Amino acid sequence: MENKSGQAHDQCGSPEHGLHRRRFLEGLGGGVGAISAASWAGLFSNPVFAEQTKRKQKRCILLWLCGGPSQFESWDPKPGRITGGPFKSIPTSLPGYHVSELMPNCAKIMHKLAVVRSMKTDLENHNTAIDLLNRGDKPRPPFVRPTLGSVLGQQLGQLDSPIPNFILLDPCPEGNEFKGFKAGNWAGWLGAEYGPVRLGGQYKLPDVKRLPDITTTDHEEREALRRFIGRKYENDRLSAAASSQNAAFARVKGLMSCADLFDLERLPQKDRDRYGPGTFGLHTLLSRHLVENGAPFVMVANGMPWDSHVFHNEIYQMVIPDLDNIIYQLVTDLEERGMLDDTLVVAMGEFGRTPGINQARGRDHYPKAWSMMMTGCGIKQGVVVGETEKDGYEVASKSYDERNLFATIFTALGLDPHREYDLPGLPTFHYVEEKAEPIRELLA
Amino acid sequence: MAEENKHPKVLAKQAKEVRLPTAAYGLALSDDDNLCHVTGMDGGVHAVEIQSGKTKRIGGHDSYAASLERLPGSQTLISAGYDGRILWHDLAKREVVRDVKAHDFWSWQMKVSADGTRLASVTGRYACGGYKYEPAPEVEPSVRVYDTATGEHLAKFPHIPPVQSLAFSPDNRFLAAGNLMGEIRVWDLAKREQVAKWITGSFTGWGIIKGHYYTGGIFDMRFSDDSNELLVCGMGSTRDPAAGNGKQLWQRFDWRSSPAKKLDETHSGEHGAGLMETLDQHPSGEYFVMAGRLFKGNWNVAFFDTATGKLLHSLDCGMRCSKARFNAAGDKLFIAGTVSQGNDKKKIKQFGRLKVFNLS
Amino acid sequence: MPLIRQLNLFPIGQALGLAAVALGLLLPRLANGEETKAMYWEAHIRPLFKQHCLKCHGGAKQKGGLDLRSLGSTLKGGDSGSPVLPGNPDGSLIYKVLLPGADPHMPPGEGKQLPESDLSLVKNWVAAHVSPHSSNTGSEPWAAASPVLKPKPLKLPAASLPASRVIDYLVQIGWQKKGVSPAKRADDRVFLRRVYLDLIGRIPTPSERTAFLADDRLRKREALVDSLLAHPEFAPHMREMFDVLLLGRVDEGKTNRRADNRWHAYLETVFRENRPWNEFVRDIILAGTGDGSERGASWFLYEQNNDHQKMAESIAPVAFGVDVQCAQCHDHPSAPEIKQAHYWGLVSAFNRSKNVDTNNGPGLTESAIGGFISYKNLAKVSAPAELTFLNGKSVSENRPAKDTKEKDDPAKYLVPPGNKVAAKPRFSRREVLAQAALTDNPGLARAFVNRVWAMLTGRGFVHPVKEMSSEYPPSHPELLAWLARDFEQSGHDIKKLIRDIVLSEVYQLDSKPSGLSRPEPSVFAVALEKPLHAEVLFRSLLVATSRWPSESDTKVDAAAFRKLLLSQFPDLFPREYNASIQQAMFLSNNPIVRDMLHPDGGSPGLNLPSLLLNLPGQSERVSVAFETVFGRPPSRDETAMFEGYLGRRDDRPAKGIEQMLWAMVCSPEFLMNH
Repeated sequence: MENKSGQAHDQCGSPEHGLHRRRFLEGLGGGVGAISAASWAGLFSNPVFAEQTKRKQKRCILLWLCGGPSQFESWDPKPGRITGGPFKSIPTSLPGYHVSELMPNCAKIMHKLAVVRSMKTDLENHNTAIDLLNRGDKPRPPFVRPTLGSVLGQQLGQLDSPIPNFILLDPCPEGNEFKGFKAGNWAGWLGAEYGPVRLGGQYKLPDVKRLPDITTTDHEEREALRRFIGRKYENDRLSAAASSQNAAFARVKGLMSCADLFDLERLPQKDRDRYGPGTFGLHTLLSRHLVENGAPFVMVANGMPWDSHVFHNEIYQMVIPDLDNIIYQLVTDLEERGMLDDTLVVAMGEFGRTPGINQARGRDHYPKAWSMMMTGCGIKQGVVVGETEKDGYEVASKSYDERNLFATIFTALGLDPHREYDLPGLPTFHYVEEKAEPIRELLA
Repeated sequence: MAEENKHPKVLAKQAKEVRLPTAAYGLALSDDDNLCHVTGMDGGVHAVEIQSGKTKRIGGHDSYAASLERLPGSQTLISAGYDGRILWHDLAKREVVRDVKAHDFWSWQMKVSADGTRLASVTGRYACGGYKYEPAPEVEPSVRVYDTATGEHLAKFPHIPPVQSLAFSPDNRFLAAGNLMGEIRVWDLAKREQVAKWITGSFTGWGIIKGHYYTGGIFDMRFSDDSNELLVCGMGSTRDPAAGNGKQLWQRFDWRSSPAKKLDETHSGEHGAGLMETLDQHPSGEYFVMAGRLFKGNWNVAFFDTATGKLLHSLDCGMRCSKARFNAAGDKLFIAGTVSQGNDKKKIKQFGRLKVFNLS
Repeated sequence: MPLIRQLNLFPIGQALGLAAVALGLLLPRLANGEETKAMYWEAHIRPLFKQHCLKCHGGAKQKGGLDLRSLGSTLKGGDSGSPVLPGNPDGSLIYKVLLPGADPHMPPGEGKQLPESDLSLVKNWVAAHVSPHSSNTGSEPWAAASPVLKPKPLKLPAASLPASRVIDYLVQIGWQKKGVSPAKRADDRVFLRRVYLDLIGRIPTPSERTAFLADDRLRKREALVDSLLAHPEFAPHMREMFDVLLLGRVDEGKTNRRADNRWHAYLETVFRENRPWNEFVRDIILAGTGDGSERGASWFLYEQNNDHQKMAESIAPVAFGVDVQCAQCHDHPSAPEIKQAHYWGLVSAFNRSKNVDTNNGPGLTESAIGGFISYKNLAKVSAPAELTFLNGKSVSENRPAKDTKEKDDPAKYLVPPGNKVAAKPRFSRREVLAQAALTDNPGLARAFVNRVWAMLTGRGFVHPVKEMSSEYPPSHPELLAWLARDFEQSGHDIKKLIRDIVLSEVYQLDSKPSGLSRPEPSVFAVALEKPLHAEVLFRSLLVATSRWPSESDTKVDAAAFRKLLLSQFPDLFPREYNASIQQAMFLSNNPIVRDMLHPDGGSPGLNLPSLLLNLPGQSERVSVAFETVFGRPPSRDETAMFEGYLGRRDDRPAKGIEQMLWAMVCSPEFLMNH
């Protein structure tokens, strides 16, 4: 088992082992001394890696409803009960299943979606819960488990693709606890290059166009020169900073080559009208566009509007119908484009909301019983898993936690959830620990 | 000091607290100080016997019931709810004598005119209408006016939803309505036309910190006795409305000027933070009360001098106040409200409250 | 002793060790067994409890009266007595309840069972790593149940010893304990660059470097440090950093207001004239508007715009070294000595104060009455806020009876309220706070020492810097205590503290580790890398392109460049350094960066790129570039590589130079302080 004192294994999870790994990859590419920045091609030609690229590309879009969306106003309404709030429920295309009246569009396509109403997790603070539902397990310092996007970006991404493996779209630069999370270490023990490219609030990436007075070759060779001169610095010091910088610069070329993909202005106005006009919808449209063009994982957030401790009904009457439309447009579009079978769509937050209304007209955090929605790749359509008792205080069936959820996501995407991370120097960690089971009813 | 002698004195002491099975939103007093009615989160209209604390449900809506008014000089109560319906309850006959579906969406607030001949109700769902989540235009008339005697629909007026509050002028000529964005419109009821429109941005926050949408707005309104001024209340704007930490705020306007002129607002140093939901004026006209929630500070109920706007007296009554009403004699203040509902399924709380204060 | 600076550190350490023994120094020497026990708690059990148990047995609530936040409180136990029978895990409640099928079972709730590995840790702990005496707090400096920040008495080296030598000695003990070899001493070039960046916020110019390298005085490093501390750029650099640390990064408009209202001038005066740090803290709390030395200090509170909670949160790290935000709604979840009462006590200290625009500038007026608030904890139990502070000080006030209004009275004031007046009551809550912060408050000195140590070495004794609670014990408790005491006794002498640290051998270690692996940062056996933040990067780029000190240039809009750098590299001492792709994109594609590095064909004397263009050969270009940008000659490999690069761009030499310089300034050697 891992050494918690971190003493004997003080290199584990350290930048040092990351460095060794990089050297390992470089070595395959054609020599440490090579200046050419075409190391991707070098790696690609290696038989070990060609295998991966043959896999049909799977993708994932995570609609990250940060703040904790209320299950009462969405997937698990309790109309007429004291906990039910003022909104009614409506029948859906799935006989026997009702959603909140605020979701008429999802009601129409319920037979294409899957919902889990029996989520039960431990953590009720944003900080720890956001971390939990993004990484799939509780922290084990000093090791940092990579987030879902980093793992899937690495697993589903293709080595020769310029588009970033992991894109985070969030137009809200603030966001309290989520802001803190965004500034943290997304990629964990996978290494800085698996962190997300972050955009938001503007569709065009700044500084993404090569200046007219420098050729592409010069642009690349200049970067190779930069790497060269940093190499001794990095090796002499086993420098974490240098490797972090290298990871950032390494992604510049790829991002530049696909800069237009991030420009929403290039998409037809009618598409923007369908998803929008709000930012969350427009960024979801952008995520569809990005996965259509090869992005393996896109996470869409919009600050923490779901955290309605105050003015709950006043806010939810707006955000839920907005989400309802967005999910409807996204799923319908993916299906029309023949992409739904290969794209997993997940919509969830870090917990749900309390059955009781608090003194400030709001609902507070509630991890004891909450809901989430999935559809697409590997997920059975038209399934509602689990239920809560009549007032929504507790799960009334088998409950599932973050490990079950992650196991489901991995399995749906064709990845073995219980395999070990195969990284030198890292203690034994699995993608999902302790053989936690995926939610079988959800899997196709 | 000489200055102090000019201001009316008021002191409020809690005399009674009644626990209600549900949060109380609407409140209507009767001629008998021992009996009043509230509407609740359960949609019901409840009769409340103050001394005994006994409550009895006498009818209700399918969803939250937010407003309750007594038709002056009668045994009829009128309620309005989030089911968009307006109900006439005849207390003598003990039945609902009229049921009008006024709106598709909620009735946010409903009031009866001073002479009792008209009632108006405001509606509107906040829907995403822009990149910054500005409200989308109305999909049904935001303001509707009815004849209280016949239930006849008399007029409809446009506004930008959600329209959260309204007020009739004491001279029965005008109707005002305010919305989430702090836009206030005033109509001449006889001529059926708009006579004033302005925006106060002080009550609306755009959630820079947590969520890029608008919250707050105007929660209650009241014309002055001479109908020339309009008093409105809500929560001051803040960059994090999700925290509910805006100022406890009222503003008073001379609405007849063009543009409308702000005359006064809560004085600096005389307020804390929290949403203010209700206004009422003392029958003497000397002072008014504003009540709501205490997020930070010392009070959630405060009395202000009508003439100068100065804070006269304040208290923390330990709950969220949704309606405050003086009785006709002016010696009592009734406040309907709620505390937290709690999340223990084994201990279902009586979380509504009605408090009665003696005034001196 | 001319050989001292040549000596490897070990012999010095040994010499000091002998001297220490000779002087009868007694350092806390924990017997091996004791040490292991304390470390076992810290490394295995405390994190386990924090993860699984503190929600119900921590700051917010203590079910069964059991508080598991500290070793002492754990051993003390709760309603069921002590849950730990040392040596007897099977009989200990703390272990028994964890077993599958136990009743009651911990953690409670369906399906919650700690894994076998965790059970073994607890079993092991009780069996072999707990002393029978409950006073076994080992490396824990805080008394477990004490409500007050009181460090356990430590045996410290004598106060009369030179501080730099005490630093070296105590850090060296740590190396020995961990079996770690320190890096070698940084050579003059490395030292020069580092100390310029740390003290005056830019790299040295070639002539400054030449002068230092040529200096053959014995104590030239000392002389250099003294000259930098007296340098006109010292105070502005310190001001830039402390401005951000105290009040945060803000936009241009707000920054200008800080300057216009003399806050920047005041801060610079503090550093330039080496005003005592404790007087600075008093000045910003009292926020006076006189014409005296404190003019400008009032902006600290004034900018916070009557937000009393924000004021409380901003002063706590300065006065007490802790971040109290967690204690707004409940006692601190994992540090038992930080209570909700302390948070609201600080708020009360400020909530009679309000901004006022006096004829002498912005100030704060304080009322003699009012400001009696209550706060609720999570259980909705209400308590009145009183003036009680983290160092155990409290002052009682007469709370007015409920529903009575206090009468204000000019007699209650030294300076009565009036139009544009900063009123001063006879009993001033802010003065009470200032008094509490400045007397019998070890936290003040400790916080500053920790902060400055972190700024200079890259990591605090307590890390994170603002968490000096029982939750984060310092890596070097004796050294922190000694330096804090020395700081107090010196009269809170800021420059002396900086000087002592910078002239220690620990600070002067090289950043290349001596072995094949990098020792943990908290051992300080190798210099840590620190990223250059925007202002420092800006000035350093001007130096590197030979523009310094002039900012004006025909081609480059320096003000615009600085502004862009501020938006791209805003982080000051980040807890974790993450180069962002946005930064890489900015450096790669923003025209202003290119303009900085491109020869402009004008007068060659103006800047480095133009100068290089006018040099005859590639070899000269490379060596001059290295000397100016990196402060060193290129290696043979580097020369070959760079000359080759330039050679391939013979047809576009200006671009070649620009790109070469780009590769250099975008490399870690330039972007980091090392």
